[in-house]
Amino acid sequence: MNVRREPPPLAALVQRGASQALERLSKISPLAWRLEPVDWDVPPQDALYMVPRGGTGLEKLFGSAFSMPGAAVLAVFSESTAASLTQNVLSSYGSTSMITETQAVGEISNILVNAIGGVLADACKFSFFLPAPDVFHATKTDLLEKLRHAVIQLQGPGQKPPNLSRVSLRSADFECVLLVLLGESWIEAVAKAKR
Amino acid sequence: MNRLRALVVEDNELARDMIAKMFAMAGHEMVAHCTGLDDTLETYRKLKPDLVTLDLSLGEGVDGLKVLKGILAADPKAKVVILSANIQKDARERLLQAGAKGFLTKPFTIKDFTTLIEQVGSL
Repeated sequence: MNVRREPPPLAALVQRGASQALERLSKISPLAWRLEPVDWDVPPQDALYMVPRGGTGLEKLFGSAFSMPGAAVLAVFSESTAASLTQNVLSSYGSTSMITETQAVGEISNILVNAIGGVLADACKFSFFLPAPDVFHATKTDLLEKLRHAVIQLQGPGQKPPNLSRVSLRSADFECVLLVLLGESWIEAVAKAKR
Repeated sequence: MNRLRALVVEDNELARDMIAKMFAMAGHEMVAHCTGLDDTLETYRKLKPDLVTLDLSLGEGVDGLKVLKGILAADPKAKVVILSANIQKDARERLLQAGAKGFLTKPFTIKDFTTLIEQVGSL
């Protein structure tokens, strides 16, 4: 039997932020999106397991990397998801502009990641402005390497490794994965806020 | 309502395209767009737009709050509206306290956009 544990406070907050991200994604795209239960304490090497669904693992993916104080987020989209979302957004305001998937992924992931960042910041009474992301079109191996690098950067001397939560927003054919890395300062701030 | 001439500070091409189209649909005009602090201040001084829309997530380490303060230092009567995905309460308060005239959270509708820019434009 597979029993799911009660999420720790940090994962519960990420889950709440992910619900807001879902709400925003549903405004951007007319597809029926749903939020999968958030996975937490994910080993970084497993973070993109089964992404894209049904793929060979060799496909290129779009990834947007965000960094904020003590935290990092990598938003990952398959090529077909990025193409679909780009068309959804452009058609929503009748644009015929030649906007690339890279531009669209940057803006859409900014909207999704800010939803999670906002919930975390409000809970901890923090405030920050998320800088524009770096957007990549790369293989899964390359994206996992960027994630591994972010883990190393976030782990200060004598500190625990950052916590990695995995958020999956799915429709019938598409998926957006948000990998949320939170360092010790966030873990402590959330624990303090709960007291 | 008179036709508003707007300066759009936004580094993302998709968002910029959308905002330009929304201004046009509402009967107003994006007269220029910028992506950083220096070009924004230079363009603002040159064009004296009726309104500025400002994103907070600008590239190359440019902070939207710094751009807001720069515009207001150049023209304390400038009408700056924040268009951002940022939903943090403290961040929003800081921006309004710094002198932003309005705040719209992305994604927004053409109706919400038009209502806000016309409200601020008529101040």
